Amino acid sequence: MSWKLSLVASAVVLAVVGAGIGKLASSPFVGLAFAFAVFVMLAIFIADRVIRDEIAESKNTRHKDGETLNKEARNFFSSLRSLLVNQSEYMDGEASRLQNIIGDAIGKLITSFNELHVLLQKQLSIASELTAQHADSAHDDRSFQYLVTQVSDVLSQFVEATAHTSTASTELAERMDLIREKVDSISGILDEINGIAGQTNLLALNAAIEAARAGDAGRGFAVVADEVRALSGRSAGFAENIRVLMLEVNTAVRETESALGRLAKRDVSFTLQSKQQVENAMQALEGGNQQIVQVVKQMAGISQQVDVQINSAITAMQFQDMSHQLLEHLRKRLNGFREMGESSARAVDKNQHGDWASMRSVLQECSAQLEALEHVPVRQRNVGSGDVELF
Amino acid sequence: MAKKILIVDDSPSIRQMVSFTLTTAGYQIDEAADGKQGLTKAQAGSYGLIFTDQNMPVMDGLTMIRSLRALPAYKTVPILMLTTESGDEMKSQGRAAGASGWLVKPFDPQKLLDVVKRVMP
Repeated sequence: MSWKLSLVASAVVLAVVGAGIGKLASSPFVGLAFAFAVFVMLAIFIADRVIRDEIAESKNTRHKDGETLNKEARNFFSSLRSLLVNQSEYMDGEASRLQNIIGDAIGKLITSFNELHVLLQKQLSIASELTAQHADSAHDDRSFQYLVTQVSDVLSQFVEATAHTSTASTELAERMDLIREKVDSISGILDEINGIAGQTNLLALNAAIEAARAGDAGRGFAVVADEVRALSGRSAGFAENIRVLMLEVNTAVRETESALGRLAKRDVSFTLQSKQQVENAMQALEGGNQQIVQVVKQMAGISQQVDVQINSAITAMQFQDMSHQLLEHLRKRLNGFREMGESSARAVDKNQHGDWASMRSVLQECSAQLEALEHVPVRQRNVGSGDVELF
Repeated sequence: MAKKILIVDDSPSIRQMVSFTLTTAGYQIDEAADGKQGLTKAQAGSYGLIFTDQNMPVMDGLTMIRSLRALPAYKTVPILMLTTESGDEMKSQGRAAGASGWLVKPFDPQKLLDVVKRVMP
């Protein structure tokens, strides 16, 4: 306001002074010209002051504004810093834990798959051992097929032997029958001998009587007649002995006959039936055996398929290496963020008078650091197996 | 008897999986966790084939290959890169460093065995 007052005051003073000079010079023009010249000078002077005042005032305001801004920026950057640092640390910790968990799990998974593979190989070798044993069955003494053939052969021989025994028994029984007939006819002959002995005895007795009648002349004849009687008695005794023995022979022959009859009667069909049963059982076993061979072969095939699956699992499990590297890269970026937070906070602390140039250099430094992370080690988008190129 | 194979990778799971695949196929395996360890092991032993990752702490795969190719014993031994890196630029760097081939992870165990049979008959 002061410049307006001084402008009015100086205008009044100039009017008075100009009038006086006009009177002194007795020319109103001179007075007017002087007053105008002085007015212009005054106006320049006042304008200068005014501009200086304005500049000073504006400087003052700007300084105050700058201070306020600086303070707010410091607060803002301080909060931003703690936010960035804390969050980056949390994220880094979480990423690191994720890396550890995946790493731990993958280690165990690989060990499991390793074991699985080893067990499968064992299974496969057992299976191929089994199939190899059966492959050459016709020539191998230990093979099941060989055993079946052997048992069947032995059984056939056994059946044949049993049939032979049966036939022989029948023949023997017939012969025994003949023997019994002969023994019976011997008994008839013995009866005749007994009769002859009896007649001889009678004749001897008659001879003795006739000898006694003849007196001395027949004495010699009497001795002969006694001897003949004694001989007939002995003949009868022998015949009796023979009869007793023949009876015993007859009994033995009858017993033999009946035993042979039983033997001959024994049914060959039973043996044949048994042979058939054993052969059936063997065939069933052989069939089962063939089935086992088939199953073992299928098992071997499955083992190979599982092996293929294990291989693709191994390819897929390499996701851990890729994830690990990507997480590592992510952590580097996070670290970059944290650094940026820290550096800007430090820059704000140092430059309390709004020196933005150093702030800009901090930002440039940080973005340079982050640009170095532009090369990402993993570009894959899935876990499909990678290319192979031989130079 | 086939020569031993060295697998250089900082990932224990990859080492485990490569070892599993190759040992079950009858190969003998040694492991190293970074390029420097790989270099030391290669110098101490004799290997018929080396698999290496690219991104590893201490020393990366390409550096290890360059160092190995400088050694007379490893001038012609096949060294295969086994890495997630699949860029053409990286591959040409590998070729220049002296790598014999480039396998991009994840590897298929059967393909890995086929490659081993081809480079180490």
